[in-house]
Amino acid sequence: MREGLGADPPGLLERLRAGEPRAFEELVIAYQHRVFGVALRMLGSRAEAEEIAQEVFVRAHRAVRDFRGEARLGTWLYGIASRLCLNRLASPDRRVARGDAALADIAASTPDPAAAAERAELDAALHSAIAELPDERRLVVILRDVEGLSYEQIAEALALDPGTVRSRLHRARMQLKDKLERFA
Amino acid sequence: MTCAETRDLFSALADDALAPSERVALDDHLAGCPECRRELAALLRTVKLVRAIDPAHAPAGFVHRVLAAARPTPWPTRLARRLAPPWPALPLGAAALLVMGGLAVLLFRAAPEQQRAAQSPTPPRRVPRLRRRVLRPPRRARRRLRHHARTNRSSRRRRPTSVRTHGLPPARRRRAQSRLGRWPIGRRQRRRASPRIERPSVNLPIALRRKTLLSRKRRPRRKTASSDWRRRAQPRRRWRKVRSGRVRAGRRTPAPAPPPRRSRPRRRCRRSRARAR
Repeated sequence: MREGLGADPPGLLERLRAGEPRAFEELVIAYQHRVFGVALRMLGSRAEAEEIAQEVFVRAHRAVRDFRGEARLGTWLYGIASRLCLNRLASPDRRVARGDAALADIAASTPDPAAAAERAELDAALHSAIAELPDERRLVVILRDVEGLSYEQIAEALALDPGTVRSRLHRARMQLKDKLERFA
Repeated sequence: MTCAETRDLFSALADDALAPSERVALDDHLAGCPECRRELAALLRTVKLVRAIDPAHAPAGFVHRVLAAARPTPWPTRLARRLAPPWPALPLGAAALLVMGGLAVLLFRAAPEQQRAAQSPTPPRRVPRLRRRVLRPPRRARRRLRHHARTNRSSRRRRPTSVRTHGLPPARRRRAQSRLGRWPIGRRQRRRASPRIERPSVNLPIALRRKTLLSRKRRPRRKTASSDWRRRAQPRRRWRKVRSGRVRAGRRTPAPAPPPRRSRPRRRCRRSRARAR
């Protein structure tokens, strides 16, 4: 799991609002992996995830003057990424096989071949279990257990009640437990 | 706390998001419920597995691509993008048809001789309004024509095909017979049927019309037995008697009793005839 969202760099939001190019580059460097990670876990395709992540930053660049600063910049970017991913998943002309690229990305990170094979099997089961979750539950699980956001940050990013986040997360985890009993 | 209520708190327990009172109640239940302890252990292992997933990393060069995409485009490009209408995806055949139609219209407009050829050589002449008005008959004549048509129609419909004239007085018989042929013939009926045609004084001025009416001689109505018969509707025999003077008109006498009918003599055979002689 990634470390939780920290505080925004001081003065970054003001420089972004002023239209400073260097500030936008800093924002992209700081949040590129988080935004890309959410898109990759949700969509399951690296190309599609990169396209969505790029779109997230372009939209943020256009709309940063209207951002009131009530939430953190990271939470705001997670919210944009979540909406774009859900819209892409709901579009009828999307025909991409989920999981292959994301699975390769997970399996490549283990150095030992035997452990890599074992890890690959576990990751395959884990990823297929996550991929079979409904989109809203999958998004909550990814934001909480992969990206490390708190309940309040998830509620803020998705514009949900914290109780809704908690119940969605509970149902998603119980569903994952039933599917991963063999490995657990 | 039931097992279902307890299991609803497992997820929050994994995130350390339980309230102290919830945590106490959960621990109390778990102390006496091995099944829920087993469930909690399985869930915690699943959460651990999910959290063990390595975070993804953006591909190399991602930042540069994002910066290039976010770079503001020059204003002519933006203007062209905004003005470009979203062309509908036309099939090739339809697009070719549209192009051909447009070219044909352009050529037609450019060549005046084609426009002249397309026009009809003699445009239809309109009948002037005055002439139509002249051709129309005046109002009175129209009314007369309508009346005449109505009368003829009614006479055709009402004309009988057979009339029983036997036993009718002469005037009635004549009238009834006339219905089969020329009709109407009676003065009143004739006047009712076509008064405008029979009376030429209609179109004359009032003075002339009065003169015409005065000059017309009316035959005085004759009081005959037939008129009396018409009033009383007497049978034919009585009318004959009245006419011949045997019976006075207006007074009814009982009909004489018919003589007793003689029966025909019975034909006898020759022997009986000889015997009778």
